[in-house]
Amino acid sequence: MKIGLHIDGMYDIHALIKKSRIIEKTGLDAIWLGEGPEHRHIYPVLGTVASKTKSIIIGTSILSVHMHKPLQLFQAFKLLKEAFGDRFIIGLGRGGEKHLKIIGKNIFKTIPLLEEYLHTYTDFQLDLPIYLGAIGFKTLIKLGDKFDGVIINSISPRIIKTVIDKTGLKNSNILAIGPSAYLPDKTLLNKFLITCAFIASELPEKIALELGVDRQLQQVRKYFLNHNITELKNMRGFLEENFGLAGSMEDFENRVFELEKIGVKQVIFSNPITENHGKFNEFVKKIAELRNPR
Amino acid sequence: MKQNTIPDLSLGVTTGTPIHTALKLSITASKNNYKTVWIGDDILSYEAFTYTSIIANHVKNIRIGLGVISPYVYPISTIASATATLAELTFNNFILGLGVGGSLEVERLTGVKPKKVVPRLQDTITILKKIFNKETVNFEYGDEKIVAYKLSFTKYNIPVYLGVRGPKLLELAGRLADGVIFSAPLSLLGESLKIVKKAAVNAHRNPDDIRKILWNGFILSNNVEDLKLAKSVVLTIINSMSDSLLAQLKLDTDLLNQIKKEFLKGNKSQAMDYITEDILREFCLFGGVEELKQQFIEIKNLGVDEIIVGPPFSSNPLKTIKTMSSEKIWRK
Repeated sequence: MKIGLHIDGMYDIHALIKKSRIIEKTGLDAIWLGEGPEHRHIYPVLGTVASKTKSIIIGTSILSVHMHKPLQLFQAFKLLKEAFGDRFIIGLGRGGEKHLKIIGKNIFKTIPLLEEYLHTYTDFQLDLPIYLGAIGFKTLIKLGDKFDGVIINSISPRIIKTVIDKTGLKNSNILAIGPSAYLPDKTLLNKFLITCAFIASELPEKIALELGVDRQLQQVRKYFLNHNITELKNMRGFLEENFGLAGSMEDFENRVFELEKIGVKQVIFSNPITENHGKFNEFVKKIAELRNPR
Repeated sequence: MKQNTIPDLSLGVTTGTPIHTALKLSITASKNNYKTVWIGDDILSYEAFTYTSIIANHVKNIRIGLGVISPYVYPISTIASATATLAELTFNNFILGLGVGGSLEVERLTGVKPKKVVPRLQDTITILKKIFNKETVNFEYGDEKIVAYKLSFTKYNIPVYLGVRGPKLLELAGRLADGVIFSAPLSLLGESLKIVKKAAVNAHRNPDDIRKILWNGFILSNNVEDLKLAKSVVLTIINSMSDSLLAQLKLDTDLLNQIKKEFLKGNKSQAMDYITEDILREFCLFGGVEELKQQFIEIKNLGVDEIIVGPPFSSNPLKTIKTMSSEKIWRK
């Protein structure tokens, strides 16, 4: 089982450099970078992380097809490949609803755009792996097998299994990404729950229904929009079971094992993980050891 | 030589340059005390912000400038967040250059020809200044929109320069920009500077607060034959100039029109065949070190603060960068 860590442009660029170097040094499989219109921009972030690391794989999880132009995006990766070699994975998807609203996109037709990107990518002959980031059944049914890998926005074995079963996904390169908190204190737990609630509240209702979580999701959405952390705490069990993971290294070990059992090839732990520098180092070191099978 | 009589020298590379070559040139420039590494966006080539970040991560003690970025090519949220990221990366040693970009290249990339360029650039620079000031902004232009947009992480009041030529855009630069990047026929440079100065005064600004930079073709050589190295650079400049601006030059207008016509037809090499020595000299700094020094002083006297040593350099660009080091050429 491969393990990667997701970091994004919410961090100061110099903190991103430090974290990237720690991740590489510890021997994890990949650094995954995310984006948002109000974060540090992915282009200079990619150029920086690649410049300041030596050989670790750098992927994007994910870049929104609504926030880029295909030619420009692939020109960026062509440059990165020319400068640093075959170290990159292009992860594409819809992007968060909240983020898209900021750039004025209220109606998203993502599938045709993803097809346009795939078309340009084929013409471009870039020869870097391209992954689809999605959880929507329609997208996965239509495009899941056309990409080199699929990144599913959950680290819940139950959700991932349901998604695979219901979409008939044949793509065997499945990656799972979700928010994580290592030995969380009260503050970190709140951040973790808010992140889970954010992801949960973005899940289309149709999918929620298919996954059998529609009733709880309505509550999560309500609490998330009202910043009701007390009620979100009451839903910790639900949020953890379906979206993220907070706990000890043993909990992480069990989760990695469960995901491996259902065929996930790589698990990507994402923010908040921990706010503490020393604890981050400890987490990365210990999580890297889980790469070896039991 | 007194500091106020000589211009700063900077390096210019474009995103069409292979990255490893650009890195070698940039590192050499940083070791030789050049003022800035300017990165010009060849719109159809490598992505400019990624390119700039790679260079910024490999040099020390040198300012980084990116110019010009076109709002017709990048959405404003990208320009803002990528610029703020580069400013953070360089510890506030970054300058953003904005401009329309080559009209043909913009159209080829986006399918749309740039229109209403003065209000578009004015809006872009105004909104960017607000974003860098941590204000929440709304903006709408065609398909592009941002709603309640705020860059909380931005730390610096990032300078925004304009890379422009026509009189209206030069006026805009005088009113709003922190600097101007001229890529101009040398015979029109004085007039262009006057327009910027007048606009600045009218806007109650001190014209000396606006930094003036010249980025034309540059060739270190005593051999006139080497001027031909600049044909591609000059072709790019000519094709991004309006007909009215070209008509002001003391050059054969029919020839200039022929060059544009062939370029538009996609006959780049035929277009270059029409470029004469007179045309090349109008758009290039050319000569041996002593001749170039004389030209630098004349240009400084016109009011230019910084001159970019850029493509095609010479038949040996790396050697040119080392030779043109300010410390070396002004030592005597």
